[in-house]
Amino acid sequence: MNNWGPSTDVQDPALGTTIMAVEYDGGVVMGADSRTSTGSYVANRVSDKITSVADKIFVCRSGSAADTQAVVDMIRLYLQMHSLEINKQPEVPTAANLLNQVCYSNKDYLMAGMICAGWDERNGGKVFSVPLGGGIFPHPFVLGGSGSGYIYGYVDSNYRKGMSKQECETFVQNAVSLAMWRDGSSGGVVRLVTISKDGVEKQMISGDKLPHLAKGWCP
Amino acid sequence: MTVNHKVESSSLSGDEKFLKPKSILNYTLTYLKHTLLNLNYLVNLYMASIKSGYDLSTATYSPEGRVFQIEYATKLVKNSPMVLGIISNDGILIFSEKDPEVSRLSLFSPEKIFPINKISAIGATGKTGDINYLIQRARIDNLSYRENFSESLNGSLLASRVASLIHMHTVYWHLRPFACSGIIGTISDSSPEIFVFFPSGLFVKCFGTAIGKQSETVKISLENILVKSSNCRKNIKEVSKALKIVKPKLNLRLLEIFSLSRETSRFDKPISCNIITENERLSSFYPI
Repeated sequence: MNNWGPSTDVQDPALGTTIMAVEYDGGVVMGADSRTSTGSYVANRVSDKITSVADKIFVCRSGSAADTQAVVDMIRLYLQMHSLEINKQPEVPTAANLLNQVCYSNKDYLMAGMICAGWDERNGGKVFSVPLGGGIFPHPFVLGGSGSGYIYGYVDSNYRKGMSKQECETFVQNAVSLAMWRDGSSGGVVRLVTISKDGVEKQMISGDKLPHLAKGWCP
Repeated sequence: MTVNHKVESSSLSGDEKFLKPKSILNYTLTYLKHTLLNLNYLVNLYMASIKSGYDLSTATYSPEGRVFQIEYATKLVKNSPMVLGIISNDGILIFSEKDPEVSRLSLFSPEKIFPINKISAIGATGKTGDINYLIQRARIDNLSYRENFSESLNGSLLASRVASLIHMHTVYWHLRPFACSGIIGTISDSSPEIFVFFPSGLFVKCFGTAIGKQSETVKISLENILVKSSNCRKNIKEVSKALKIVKPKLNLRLLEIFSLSRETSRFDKPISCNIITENERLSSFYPI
């Protein structure tokens, strides 16, 4: 925070955000909002926070925009070199491990909370959380970003193991919209990425098409 | 079967007997007076005629395009105790013959087969000092690979790392070449694989091979065993039989056997004594 200049509110571009990834029967669904803010100014209202590091492995980014972009670029390079060596598509635990190595060794300089998810032949759909400071945590579903705190209740009560693809996409969409409803640093559109054996499907659901779950009390 | 890596002269033209190489050390061509047809002698002839300076350094090629230092190192490996590797139905077997002059069974017997991680092992023969260094590097490589990629080093990755280390030593750090050759047994993607690497830095993937003393004759019996395609337990007996035929004086207790199969799912330790005793007993029934 600067104590000079016209506005003390100005910060580095940050992804105060809502990101999540959920395993379902046959793959993973990743969801994110699309707001990048520098302080209270929305720098980009349609940003894409779900970046690919391999054909079927994606990373949700939250925290400092610059830091996360740099880390993801590095991971993409290492993963590509590794997949050349092993002659196969890389696996999700490998990608998450590399993320962890980078985030932990540079923990003093980075502010990056990431979720690594994807599909590979040996493990199926997998989700790993690599939060601020490093560490690697495999879970069936992971939430991240500033908006995640507002939806833990919804997610905990509505998650079921072995959902179908449609149910999972609805689940993620609802959760992210609820977070966007309450969190000031999340907003814009909802981006969904579904990764399974058959490939990668990307969707963007704009604000007017989002489910209005608070309609019971709020017009 | 393994590629025949022997580079010794199998076809010598008559002209080479009359070569007069420029000799720094001024060796005479006295040896060339013996015009014998025996191949061994021819080999010696050939080797003797090379003592004209092309074999003094790993960094020198001879006019025929050979690096003699590496061939000499291969010769060392050829005279070392044998190591044998074979893929069975359900796993990998690595046999190694302990040097009878050096081993005193109960007191001291140097290891010849080294586990790198739970699913790979290297059986090496040649200069022991070189082997130790190689194994240490392979183990460290495995650890750092695990740290970065959360998987053990196995398969052709392991083989290529070991082989490139040998190659680098020969090409860049060429005090003398690595004088060790070995058989790598690994499981990659649930399928067993065997690689063999040579002092020149070459590595080859195969189904079964042998290196060291009398390995050529054993390789022929290995082909027959491979055709039968039995499991590890049976193959141990088959291979011991084959070894007994090739080396009648072989004491089967001097074999170190590593097996990776459904029964022994870790490549960490040699097989138990019971199997060896059973082996001995069975093979003593077969007349030689």
